Amino acid sequence: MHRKYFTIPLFLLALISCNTPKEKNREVLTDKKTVFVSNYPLYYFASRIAGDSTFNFIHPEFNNTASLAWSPNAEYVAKLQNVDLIVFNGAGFESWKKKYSLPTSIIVNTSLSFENELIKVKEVETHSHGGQGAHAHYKTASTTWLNFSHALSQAQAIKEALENLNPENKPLFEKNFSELKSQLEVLHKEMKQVALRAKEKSFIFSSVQFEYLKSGYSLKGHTINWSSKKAINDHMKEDFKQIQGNLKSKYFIWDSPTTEANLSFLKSQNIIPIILNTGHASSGDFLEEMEGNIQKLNEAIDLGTN
Amino acid sequence: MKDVLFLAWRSVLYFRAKSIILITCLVIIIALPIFLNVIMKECELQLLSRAHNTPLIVGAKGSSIDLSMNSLYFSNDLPELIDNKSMEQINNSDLAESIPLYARFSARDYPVVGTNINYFKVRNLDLQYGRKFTILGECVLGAKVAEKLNLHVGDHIITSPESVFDLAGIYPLKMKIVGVLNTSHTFDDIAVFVDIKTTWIIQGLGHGHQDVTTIKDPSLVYQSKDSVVTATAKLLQYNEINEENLYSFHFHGDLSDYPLTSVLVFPKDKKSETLLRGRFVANDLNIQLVQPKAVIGKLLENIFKIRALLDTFIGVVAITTFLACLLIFYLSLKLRANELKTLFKLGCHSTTIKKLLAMEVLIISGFSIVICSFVWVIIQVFKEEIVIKVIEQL
Repeated sequence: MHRKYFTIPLFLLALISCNTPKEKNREVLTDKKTVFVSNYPLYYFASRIAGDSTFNFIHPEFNNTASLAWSPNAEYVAKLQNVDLIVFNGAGFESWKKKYSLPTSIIVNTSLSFENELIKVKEVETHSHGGQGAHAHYKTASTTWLNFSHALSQAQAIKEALENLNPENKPLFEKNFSELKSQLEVLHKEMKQVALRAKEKSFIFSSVQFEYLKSGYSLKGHTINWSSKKAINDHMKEDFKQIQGNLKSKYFIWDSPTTEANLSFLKSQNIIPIILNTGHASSGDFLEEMEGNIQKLNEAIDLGTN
Repeated sequence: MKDVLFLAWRSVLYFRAKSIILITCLVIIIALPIFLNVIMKECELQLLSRAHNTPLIVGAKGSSIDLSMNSLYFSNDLPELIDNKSMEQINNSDLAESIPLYARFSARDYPVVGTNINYFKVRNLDLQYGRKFTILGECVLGAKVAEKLNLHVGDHIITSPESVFDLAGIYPLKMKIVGVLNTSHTFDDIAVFVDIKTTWIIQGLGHGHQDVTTIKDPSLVYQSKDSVVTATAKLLQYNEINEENLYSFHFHGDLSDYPLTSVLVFPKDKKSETLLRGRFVANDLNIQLVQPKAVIGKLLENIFKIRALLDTFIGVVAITTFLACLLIFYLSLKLRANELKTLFKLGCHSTTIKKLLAMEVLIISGFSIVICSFVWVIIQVFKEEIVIKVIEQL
């Protein structure tokens, strides 16, 4: 009998409790801030500026040029949504970012300061479908750091982003950046001297990765778009001869080591092959590899002059 | 006392039509102001809390109410559109965090809100199940949407065409549900959240199709001349985005020129807010920067004017109903004069008769209060849904 008297209040209580918000989940954060960097040159700049153990850096695998073609999967992006800072190269390097959802407020585009100097290259043939008119797909050349003044701007952008993230270490970042800056300035100066020596010479570039080297130091030449992994076929040889007819170049710059057969063909055409590092992780660090590039160019010019 | 209660109860049951009318009248008199009060308070709370949590909104010049209602409550009234450039300008100013909004489309009668994942942070929205959207074509459902449509993580939801007469329009997009939000008791419960770029695909500004440079089927190529490949209408365009076809999706032109309904702006501090407002007032661009708190405040002022009118109206109705109840009692006493005389002749004391009548009033009032309590509980449970419907009509 008494149970009846409790039924109504209990029912009312149950109805109200259905309406009470649930306790919110809370994420557990670690003390060390996590920074994502999208390529090796940026990682090098960031780690040089940050010094020891200030941040936890995450990045794609830096195994040769593949980082240019790297794209994350949905799980990796879910991880990126929780980092403290995302350092992008910009200039179309992270072409995958248009396909994914990232927190824009923590993204730093390191090429923003020189976006008017970015170089567009045609990617696919013009096509037309549906109600849209004919349109071609273009992409932006991404290897901005091969122009060392751009590389310096990118390092500057990274320094500012790290300072915002960790203001108490500002003097350390400033000191480390200043060292890096002077080293990049030396490289820039050396590369300018190479360009001066190559003033009357022209080059054939294997890929659009050299666009910033070409434009930054006013190197004359033509980009042929050959993959170093692919054997040179008859059609390619025809193209080469046509280009060479106008250009009369002595130098062919590859973006990675190529096959013996390809090297033999170039030698048969009296061409000096030069293999440059376009900024991927190798036995040396970024500065050593770039210094190596300058040395190779100087040696090739010496060889071509003699 | 038990005898009086017994007789009063029997009398209430015997004159059941009169009792029901009296209870109904009393319930209306009591419940109506309660209902209005609770709903108005909830309305005020909902409107103001969201407005207070959103310092500034950037949108096209025009109705600031339409802009605020669409940005805060995803109303159907679409304000004039602005370029994505506006958001980039705010981001580049380094004075505030900005969050894009494109609340134009719908899926199964619920608004599809294009934004970025920072929206969840600024609105304190946590996930009940799954994860936030990471790739194009993924969506996160508000708690009520998932509940009402019985949808779960892994299911799909298809966007609705903007117009049923748009037969040649864009294909609806089949979106994968990757998360369901916790109940927030706000308008976020009744929305479908997607990445801003997904809304541009819904609009047809971005698309995915077979690679025209590698297709073998000649019926797909209309013309191939001077490195221009023209595809026929037969070319397959994807209406669902998955890991396999994700990289065929692309946007033409500059994303800075793509449309937004508004940008939610969260200045770093008061000084940044003032600087930003100064910049938008100083330039004569086709965009405006509004303070939702002020806009909604004005809207509430109007609502309160209507409320004052309603209160007067309810007061008059309450007095009239109360008088009608008194009349019913009075007439009922007249009709029951013989019955009461008989009770007196049987030896019932006049005080007992008064107690009997008072007990009848108490029983009827008691029932009315119990029913009103139920009504109050029901209003408490459904007030958010009622308010959401009310605000949608504003």
